[in-house]
Amino acid sequence: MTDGRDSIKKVKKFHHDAVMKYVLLAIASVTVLIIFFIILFILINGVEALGDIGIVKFLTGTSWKPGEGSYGALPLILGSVLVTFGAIMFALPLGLGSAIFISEIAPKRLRSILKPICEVFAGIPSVVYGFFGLIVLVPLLRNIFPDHLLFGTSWLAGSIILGIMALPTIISVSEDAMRAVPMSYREASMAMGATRWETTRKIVVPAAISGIAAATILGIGRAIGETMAVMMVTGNSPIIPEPLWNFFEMLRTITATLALEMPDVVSGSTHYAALFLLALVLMIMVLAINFTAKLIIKRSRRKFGETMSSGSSLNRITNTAKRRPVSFHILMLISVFFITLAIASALLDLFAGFICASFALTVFALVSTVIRRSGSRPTAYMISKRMPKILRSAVLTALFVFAWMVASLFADTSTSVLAAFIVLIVAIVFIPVAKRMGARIREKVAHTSLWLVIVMVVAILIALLYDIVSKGLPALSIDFLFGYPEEGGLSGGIFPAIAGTIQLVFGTMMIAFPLGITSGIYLAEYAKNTRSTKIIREAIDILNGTPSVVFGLFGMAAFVIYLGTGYALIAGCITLAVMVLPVIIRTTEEAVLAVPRELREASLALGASKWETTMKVVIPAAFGGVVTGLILSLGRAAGETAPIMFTAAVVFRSSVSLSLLDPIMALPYHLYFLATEVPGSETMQYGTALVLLIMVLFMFALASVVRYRYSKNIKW
Amino acid sequence: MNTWLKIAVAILVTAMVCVPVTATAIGNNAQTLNVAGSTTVQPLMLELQKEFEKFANVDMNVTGGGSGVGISSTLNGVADIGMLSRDMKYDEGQGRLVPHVIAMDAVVVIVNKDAGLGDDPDLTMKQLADIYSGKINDWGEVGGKSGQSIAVVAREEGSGTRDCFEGALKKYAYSNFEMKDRVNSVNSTGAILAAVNNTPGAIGYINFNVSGGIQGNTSTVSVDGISATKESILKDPNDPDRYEISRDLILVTDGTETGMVKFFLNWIMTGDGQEIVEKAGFIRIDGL
Amino acid sequence: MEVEDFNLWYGDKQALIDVNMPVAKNKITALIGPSGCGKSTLLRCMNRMNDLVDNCKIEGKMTFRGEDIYDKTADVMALRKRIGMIFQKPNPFPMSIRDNITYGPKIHGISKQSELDEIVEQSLVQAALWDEVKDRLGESALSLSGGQQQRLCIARTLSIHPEVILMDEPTSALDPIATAKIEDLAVELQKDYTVVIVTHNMQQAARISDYTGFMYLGKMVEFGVTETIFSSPSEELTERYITGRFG
Repeated sequence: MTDGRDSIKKVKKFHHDAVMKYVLLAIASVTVLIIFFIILFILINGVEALGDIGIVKFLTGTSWKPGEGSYGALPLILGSVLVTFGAIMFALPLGLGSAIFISEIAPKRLRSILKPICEVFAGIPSVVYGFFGLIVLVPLLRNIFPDHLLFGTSWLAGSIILGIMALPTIISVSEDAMRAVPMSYREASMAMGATRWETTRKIVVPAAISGIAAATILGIGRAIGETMAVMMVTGNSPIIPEPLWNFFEMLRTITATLALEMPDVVSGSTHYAALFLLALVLMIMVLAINFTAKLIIKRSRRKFGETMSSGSSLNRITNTAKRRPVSFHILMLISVFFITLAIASALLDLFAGFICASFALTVFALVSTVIRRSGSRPTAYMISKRMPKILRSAVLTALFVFAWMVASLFADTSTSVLAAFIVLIVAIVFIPVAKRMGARIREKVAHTSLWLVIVMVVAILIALLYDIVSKGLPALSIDFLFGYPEEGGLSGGIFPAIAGTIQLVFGTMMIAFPLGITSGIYLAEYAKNTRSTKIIREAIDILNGTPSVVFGLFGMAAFVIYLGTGYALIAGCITLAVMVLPVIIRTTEEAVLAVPRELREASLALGASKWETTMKVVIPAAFGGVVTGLILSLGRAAGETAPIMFTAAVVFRSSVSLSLLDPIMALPYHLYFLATEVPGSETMQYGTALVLLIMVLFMFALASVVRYRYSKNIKW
Repeated sequence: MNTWLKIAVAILVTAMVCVPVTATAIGNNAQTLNVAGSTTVQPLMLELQKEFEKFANVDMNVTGGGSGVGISSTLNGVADIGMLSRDMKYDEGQGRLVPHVIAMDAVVVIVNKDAGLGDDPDLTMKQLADIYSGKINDWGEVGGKSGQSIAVVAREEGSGTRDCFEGALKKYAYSNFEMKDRVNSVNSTGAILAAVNNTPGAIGYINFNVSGGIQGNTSTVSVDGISATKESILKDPNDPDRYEISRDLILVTDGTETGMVKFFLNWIMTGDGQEIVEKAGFIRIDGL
Repeated sequence: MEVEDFNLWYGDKQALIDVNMPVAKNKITALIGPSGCGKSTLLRCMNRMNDLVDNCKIEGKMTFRGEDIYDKTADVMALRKRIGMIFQKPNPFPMSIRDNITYGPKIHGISKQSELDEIVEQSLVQAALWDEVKDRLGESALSLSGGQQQRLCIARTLSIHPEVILMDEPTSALDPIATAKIEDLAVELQKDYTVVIVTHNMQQAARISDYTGFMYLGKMVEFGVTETIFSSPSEELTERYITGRFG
């Protein structure tokens, strides 16, 4: 065999390499073109509205009445911000508490149960949360606050539902961050005689603070882009709450506006352009939020000099708390802004409130920068020495204002001020008492409250699941699963909806898989690290963070109206495919990059071409990761409502059609329809919710089985 | 592993083939009549399609989307006929779209029984306007249960039903009527029914074609003593007993209709066509 | 094989400076030197593994059987088939033991089952692994111990019958017993193959190699017969390094 006379000169053997590189490049370019096209499409359509409306009028106008030609988006933007703010106020303490509990206190076995529970809840479709909110939470709130809530649908309801939805994200990401804090830190602290609680509070949490901040911000990003759940429970009045913190008011978010008004507008009209402009504003908001998260992650990573190949995994974020992290300052800035805004707008009007708040924000930012910059100078030292005192009085002031804000919703001015004072005094008395408690007692108190938090969180989640399962099970029958809806959805079955969802998922798979996988492989294996690759990655990230309703908007404008498919399966599939494309690309890329370089070298050293190496070594090795990503993306596609409600889904179909040009029924949309439009169909609603839940959770279970199997087989 | 890979490759190849095929399928709808637009009119149109295709050699595609989609699609030539449940506003039709009235519909006010308006609730146009503009917030002020707040439900901006309702209030109550902001906005008739049924003291408005089946905790309201019936809606505009909150259902075409479109539109106005209109819950306008 | 006036840059940084050295057929040539001296870089140049590194620039000549490896018309894949490589860390593919061995032959167009079976046995026997794994060829390669994995990698390279085998610190991740086995193997292999080995371990170089090159800061300080290098080096630098009185 070792024929020494062979030349190493090129022989006329077919080399896949050159060809395949261009094939991959071609497919990846198609994907990239699609991505840029969508971004451009929204940009161009939205910018058109600027000429007609004017950016200032659009952003500061307080009246959204397209029928009368007034397009003031402030109530909608504020609506999105306020609902999200409320959700975080609700979810952050619970989420953080649960994360601390799971990471630091829970026995190993309990932890191994709690973690998967969290993941399950992250996978439940938005419309199911909305359904739960509408049918359980809204009547409940109406009964608790009969004087304040006419409908029950309100900011409060929206925030609670969104908070519950954000909980799993916050818990699992911040728990990961805390687990990543090296054991040796804890041991060092305990070895000095600190209690577990002191170790947690002073070592673990500060060390993981960047991860926690990133988790919170990711939670915010998810909440602000939510459509279905919010639309179902907030009442959708385009108003600014009065006073601004009146969480009993109904309000309307940007996402809900898009979902409500898109079907009624005429393409090319001002109203149409205004909706695209709204979508653009929403995208920018989400982008800014995600960018902040990325920045925080990056900073904490640089501090440790860590070089990690995978971009989005937060698993190994750690941090020391030598300096107050940026996130703390951002939080301070935000609270300064809102507190000033609240006070000033109560005393004056909203506009003046904004000016005052912005002014206070600037002053505060300047002062804090000066303090941080001036390092060891005497004045700065004096200030920073007093920092705890300043901080404490700031917290107390905030507490006072907050108590007053809540109380003022229930009582007149003097009573509410009195109530706020009582809260303040209790707090002032309580702090020294708490300080004087022994470390042991404090630990007891802290751990007990964490137990309470976790019990509460689990109770909420279990209640949701139990409610749907227990009331949905009786609805399940052969007739229900294989029958057609009758009496407008009051009876009969949901077969066309099940079939439609399967069709949608299948079609999405057909379009998104080849494009996504090839692009992911191209990016990981072939793309050089040039500026254009960077831009492509950014574009993918932008699309990744884009709220699903924006895809619906795009799908409707591009396919239903422009191409004239009408509501059609194909339009829904393409829209969903475009939505999951970035997820598929990124997970494929990450899985491929996670394959060790040594394997590629081994293969190349055996004389394999790059293409052979990719196909026979890299992809099989990355298979588990890729497949997991694919299944997860399909699970997401199956549960989405907003992208299909303007592109493919209709209320009723009398037969299951296989034509790509026919509209379909789909489970999530059917659930939305039943819950909002068919009074008296509770049994059908619960049945539909349960079937949808089973379908989606089945996919998530499948994904984790695949992941488990492959992580067992392959270790490096 | 190898079988898995093969499956993956198979899927990939199939998909590659499928995408272009479906792409051509989209562009390939010759010899058809495309209708798009209002979801209110859509059920009626589907019924019309069933009958019309029995004798006309035509392949109809009916899709929903909303009145706006109806106008857009007709203007850009995607649809031959657009369905509207409201009038065209401003210059939406760009001077090209020609309206064809095929039926009438009315908007019916409903209230939750806890409003205390009795078995046959009645409100004047002025009272409705006051309620919807926010001047009156307690049922006691309009003869209902004192101390019961009025919970106002409305359709979303841009909906044909809302346009019709607002238009009537502007015309017959006061011209500067403006709906208050603090209303619960929903995007379907069914959602209004659900909200009014579930909320004590709620008021809302729905389409005539679903008002027949009102039950449970909700009752329909007559306006100025006139309840919405086929007869009261069709009365002469000058007749004081006419039910005023009504609207036309319109089909639009780009320019004057010709050929198959004309045939179809003419057929709708025949007795056969109008029969179907009536069956779908709308009001026939051929005088029968 | 012959290396003539070979220079290499990573970006602006020059990693190899005017390197000259011969590689004798069917002998073991060792490259020694402190970390970062360029010995691994030089080795990786010999089958063009450095092509994978971005912005890597070369100058000079490297010939194999009289042909320039870096000639534009050279077929890298064909080159690597004939100049195989063993890496620092054992890097078996996450497949079965058999599939690891048959990977190379399949790539190069052998598909007959009987032929493949023969290659598997032959390679594993040559790599002194056959007896240990013959009953579990279907098992995952990752279930083997580190030393076994490294011998599997050697068998994998042998399966395509290269003429030269490059070894990049093949024993640095292994315990002494496994190391001894690999060393024996290297000596055994030189009957049929030309071996170039990079090592940190000077005893190893002295024990097994016929020729030794000492590199420092990208330069080939001294090259010669192993015995000479270790008993009477001509450069002071070499002497200081091998006697351990260095930096």
